[in-house]
Amino acid sequence: MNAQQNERLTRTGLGTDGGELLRRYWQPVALVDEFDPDTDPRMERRPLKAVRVMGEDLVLFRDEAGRWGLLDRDCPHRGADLAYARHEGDGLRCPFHGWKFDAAGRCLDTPAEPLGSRLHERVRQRSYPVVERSGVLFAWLGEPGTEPPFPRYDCFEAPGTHTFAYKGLWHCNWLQAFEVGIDPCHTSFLHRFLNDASLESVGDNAGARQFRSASLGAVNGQAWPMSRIMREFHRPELSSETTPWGLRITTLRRMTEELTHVRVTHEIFPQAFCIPLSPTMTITQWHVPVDDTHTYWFAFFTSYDKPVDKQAMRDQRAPFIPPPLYAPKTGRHNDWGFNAEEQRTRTFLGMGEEDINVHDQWAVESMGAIQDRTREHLGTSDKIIMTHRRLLLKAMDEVKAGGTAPFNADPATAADQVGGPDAVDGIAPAGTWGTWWAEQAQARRQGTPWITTEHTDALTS
Amino acid sequence: MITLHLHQIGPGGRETAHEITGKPGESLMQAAVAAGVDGVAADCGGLLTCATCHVMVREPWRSALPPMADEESTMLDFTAATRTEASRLSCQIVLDESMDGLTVDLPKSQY
Repeated sequence: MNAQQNERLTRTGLGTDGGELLRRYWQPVALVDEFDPDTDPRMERRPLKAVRVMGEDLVLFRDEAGRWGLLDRDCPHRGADLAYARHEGDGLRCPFHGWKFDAAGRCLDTPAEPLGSRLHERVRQRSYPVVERSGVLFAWLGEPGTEPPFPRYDCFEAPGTHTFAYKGLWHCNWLQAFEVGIDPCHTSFLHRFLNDASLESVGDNAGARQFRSASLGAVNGQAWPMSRIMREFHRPELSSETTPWGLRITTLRRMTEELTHVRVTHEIFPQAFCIPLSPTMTITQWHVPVDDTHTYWFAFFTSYDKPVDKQAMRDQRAPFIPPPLYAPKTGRHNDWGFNAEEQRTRTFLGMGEEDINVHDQWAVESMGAIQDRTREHLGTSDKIIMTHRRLLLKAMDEVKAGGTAPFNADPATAADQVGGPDAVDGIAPAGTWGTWWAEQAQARRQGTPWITTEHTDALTS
Repeated sequence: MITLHLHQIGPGGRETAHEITGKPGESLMQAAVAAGVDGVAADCGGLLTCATCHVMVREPWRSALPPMADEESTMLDFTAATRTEASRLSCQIVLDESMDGLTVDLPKSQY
């Protein structure tokens, strides 16, 4: 790859090819939790915060009617910073000269102007549509009025009782942050535990004990933890196929003559993945550029059986990635918590067993703020990453030529997206893994309390 | 400096000829990527894992090149454009002074 291609793939500011492409997709901008006074006491009296997305500075607030407003951060009068605005319930008032704006960006008042002035009718602050889904606020930052229907993935269709959302800040470019999630081989190494936890001790706590849960199915009647399968079978066969949302990625680990471990994960173009965490829980995770050297991941945990214990899941993460900034406590400044003794005896990496998120954080941050892909060398095991980069470059070409961005940026495709994608991890009969995983997915859908026949029919038709 | 010619058929059938230069010891792929010839993708960076730096070498250079190794021949079965008698992976063509004037055709697509 040459330097220009790397620039093209990684830059997301207004007017860049990458930025134009990403602005064709709904982007997560904040957790609803960030506005909860229990998370951030400042929100009790003043539910307003500054957000930065793809290098654009915005203010996000909730008005007294419960409407979300996302506005450009610079006051349209003289450019002062609306993050310091007076929150007056029905809108924000700039402290500089008192101009006031509501959640839709309408100017309500320009109090320094002469009585009877109609200036406020001619002033408008740019506002961006905001949609709340599963505890996350998504924004439309593209051309006004061109937003496609919001895609109805399982993580958004599940009721609030069955989803949990969290986010975290990584100090690197969005693409390298994302690429680790569509790399099916790294789990065998980066997240390798040299010893397995007993499956009984993991129990119902799949959300916290990542990769410790059992894979579906059994070997000689014995359940295997995912961690053991990943560790013992580290040369998987990879394949991918295009779907309406992006790529379905199939990772096969031939365990014995009779048994094949199959892991079906997904790329949701252009910046999310969906992976299984246990037989009944998935993570769907977006990677949103703050700017070109900082990225927020937004993860949705979706339960296909019991309700989730949100407080417990929050409490498991907050000590490592504390609100309101959600910047991990570990990072380059403290060697990501690296412990050479642990690396020798307990884990492949040596950065803890409790929160595997830091493993990925090290992998992507240690590359440098924007990975120099002119210096990398890819193996056959990197072919999903190659495929994804090609899809990105092709989509940028299409958008630049005035065409429609692919997958769920296309209103026709997005309207058909009901449910899914199905992420499965299990031990299958070697000869029939292809139908086996689909049957497991189907059985899970049928047994999921919040999935209706509409979803099931849409996915099987 | 070794002068190299890469011919590319663009959209609409129009041929573009890139004249670039390379240094002895570097590969044709490296010279093409450094010069920004986008018809050479080279996803893998020269490790014989992707088959996206496919070129068709014109005579007389084709016969003069050292024969390809088995690994290169195996990867050539995975090119997007159908392999021909003249097909090589440009990451495996190491330039030397005798290759001044080397001329290749690029496939319509590397994917």
